[in-house]
Amino acid sequence: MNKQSSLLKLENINMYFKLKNGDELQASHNVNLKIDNGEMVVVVGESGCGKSTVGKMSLGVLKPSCGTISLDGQDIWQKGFKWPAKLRTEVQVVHQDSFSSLNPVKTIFQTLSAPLLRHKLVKNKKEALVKINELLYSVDLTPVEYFIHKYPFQLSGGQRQRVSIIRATILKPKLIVADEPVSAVDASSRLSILDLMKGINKKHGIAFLYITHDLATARYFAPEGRIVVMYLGRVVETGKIKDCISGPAHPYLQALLTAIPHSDPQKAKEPIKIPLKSFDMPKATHPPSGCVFNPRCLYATDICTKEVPLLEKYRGRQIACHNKEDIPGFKK
Amino acid sequence: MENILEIKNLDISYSTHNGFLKSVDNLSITFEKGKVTGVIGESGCGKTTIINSIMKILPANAQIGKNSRIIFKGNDKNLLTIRKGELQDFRWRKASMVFQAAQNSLNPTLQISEQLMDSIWDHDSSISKKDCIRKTEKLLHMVRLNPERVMDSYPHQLSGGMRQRVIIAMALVLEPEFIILDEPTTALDVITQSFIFDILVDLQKQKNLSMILITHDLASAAKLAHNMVIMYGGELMEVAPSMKLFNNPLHPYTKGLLGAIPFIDGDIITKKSIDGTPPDLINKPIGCIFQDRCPKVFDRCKKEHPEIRDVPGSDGKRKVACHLEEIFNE
Ligand SMILES: Nc1ncnc2c1ncn2[C@@H]1O[C@H](COP(=O)(O)OP(=O)(O)OP(=O)(O)O)[C@@H](O)[C@H]1O
Ligand SMILES: Nc1ncnc2c1ncn2[C@@H]1O[C@H](COP(=O)(O)OP(=O)(O)OP(=O)(O)O)[C@@H](O)[C@H]1O
Ligand SMILES: [Mg+2]
Ligand SMILES: [Mg+2]
Repeated sequence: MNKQSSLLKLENINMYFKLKNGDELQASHNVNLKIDNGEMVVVVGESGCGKSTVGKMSLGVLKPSCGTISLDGQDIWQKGFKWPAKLRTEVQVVHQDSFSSLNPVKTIFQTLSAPLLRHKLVKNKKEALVKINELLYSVDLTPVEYFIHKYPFQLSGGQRQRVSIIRATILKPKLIVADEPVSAVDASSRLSILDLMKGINKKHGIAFLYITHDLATARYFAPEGRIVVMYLGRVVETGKIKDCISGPAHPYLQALLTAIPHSDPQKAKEPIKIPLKSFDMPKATHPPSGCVFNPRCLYATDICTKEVPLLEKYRGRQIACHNKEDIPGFKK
Repeated sequence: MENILEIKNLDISYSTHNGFLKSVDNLSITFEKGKVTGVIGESGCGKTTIINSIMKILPANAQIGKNSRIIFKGNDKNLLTIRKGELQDFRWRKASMVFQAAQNSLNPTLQISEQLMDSIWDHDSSISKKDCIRKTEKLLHMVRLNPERVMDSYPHQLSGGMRQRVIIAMALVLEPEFIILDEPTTALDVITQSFIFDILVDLQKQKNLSMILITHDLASAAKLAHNMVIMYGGELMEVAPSMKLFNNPLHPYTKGLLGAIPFIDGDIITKKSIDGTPPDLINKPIGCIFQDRCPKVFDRCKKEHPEIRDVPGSDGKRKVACHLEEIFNE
């Protein structure tokens, strides 16, 4: 392993999808992303902005149209690199839909013992049973005897998600991609799932790529981590979560943060003036020219309709905005 | 204070192959006229079942208790037993409904204008085409959609948020005084959500509408709802004016729910999930339905079912179902 390089690196990634009607859709536009060992990185943005596409490319299940993806300094799509085997153990996934990601005709024991046996982490079924007992206990699926022989449909959404998380950690990966892991879980149990993943990060040093549309859980999950804010396939702001959430610099992130319900119910009742020119998201197949955010941006000027803004250093983070100096500070 | 709707002793069970599932258990709620009442609770607590019973669209395996009554505006008739003709009138003219996950329920083969105009004609065949178009445009304006852009579009040409606004416009066609919204924004992005809530707040004020807002999202319900009803396992836990509920939740479940929301601005250190799992509604426990997950559980909770009681000094506006005496002594 090369100590100098990041764990996972996406460099100048572009991803094009050909649609049935012949249109082309660019789901990633010059995306750069770097995750170090043990790091917590969150990708946020609205539906269709390209979060899952980034997740799938990080998992090696989707090949970018151009750009390079490297794991421990090795290009995973380079000819001769044995990526599937390596990637399959080093990068794991937790999906939003725990139902379809767990095999419905297998019990928890069967689901969890298979990788243990296949990768020779245990010698036999008896050892697997002991190990799985420990694992279920560690994620509070107790009494263990009650859960171990259940099928996925016999569990609540939160319980299924705990099983998915165990399965993702069994092979001691270096990175877990968690794509909306709590959006289908009841609000009252979401935090315990996030806590579980935070604990795994602390205890085992496993890095996380947490994909979500929910900025509040992003902040909860990785208060010390990094955030990547996407809009129509582009990264528009990235930096420390703390900085970006308390003082968003890009007009899009400012709008997102304005729209989120406030903890003070009195304030929540007041009408919100969301700093946007329009509420309608442009079509991803026909993105606006220049800065893709310009038709909705209150601060757009001539240059914004013509030139694509680059991601540049600004106030301790990076943002892609021609008028960054002129954007008013954020007040909520 | 006048009520638009009263639910009295509502019992609804579903027959399943494992036995009867008690989805709503002896529930009584009053909905104030001209106000928005938020009905809040986790998935499976019975929210949709309640409103399906109001609209009389329960599935065939549902059974309603003999003593259950739903009464509209002080009228003596029980909605649960009225005749078809009267029901039709209630269903759309007096009350209308926006269903859960409705943005996918528009007819994909019809233009938006056709769908809206059809539903206007359905109820008033005498209206001229010109008036019908004018009315359609007015409705679209109400939900802040541009008729020019939207009228000739097919559903797939609109975003989820635009489709949801069309659905809300359809619910307004007959100018009902009472609207039920089941998770109206759940599948939508935050910016769209906030925008739709703004529209609903405006509409409610302008037309003095009475509304029931069903949601599991306590945080955004605060924007619209004047009153809140907190449900758990088919039963009422707490009823309160929204502000009071937020500033001083009384029932341990309400406290737990508020404590589990990681707000973007508040502290995150004290936040915590509610431990445990949803209750088994086929074999309901003796005593309090929340006992297994309650941090304040004591002996009595396992033996005796807590009846919902008025909180002193609240004018009957605040009720809690809990054995903890401290709640009622403050
Ligand atoms: N296999 C595919 N073929 C065609 N288009 C696709 C494909 N996968 C994704 N897209 C499109 O690429 C864009 C980004 O999709 P992606 O799933 O990454 O978004 P997302 O940010 O994860 O959204 P969501 O929050 O809804 O999950 C969308 O416009 C989507 O329709
Ligand atoms: N047709 C049915 N047959 C059997 N059980 C049902 C049926 N419909 C609902 N249930 C059960 O009744 C209970 C209440 O369901 P309901 O749909 O009213 O909940 P809800 O509060 O609307 O949940 P959600 O937030 O998921 O929409 C649940 O336990 C559910 O599984
Ligand atoms: Mg996605
Ligand atoms: Mg429901």
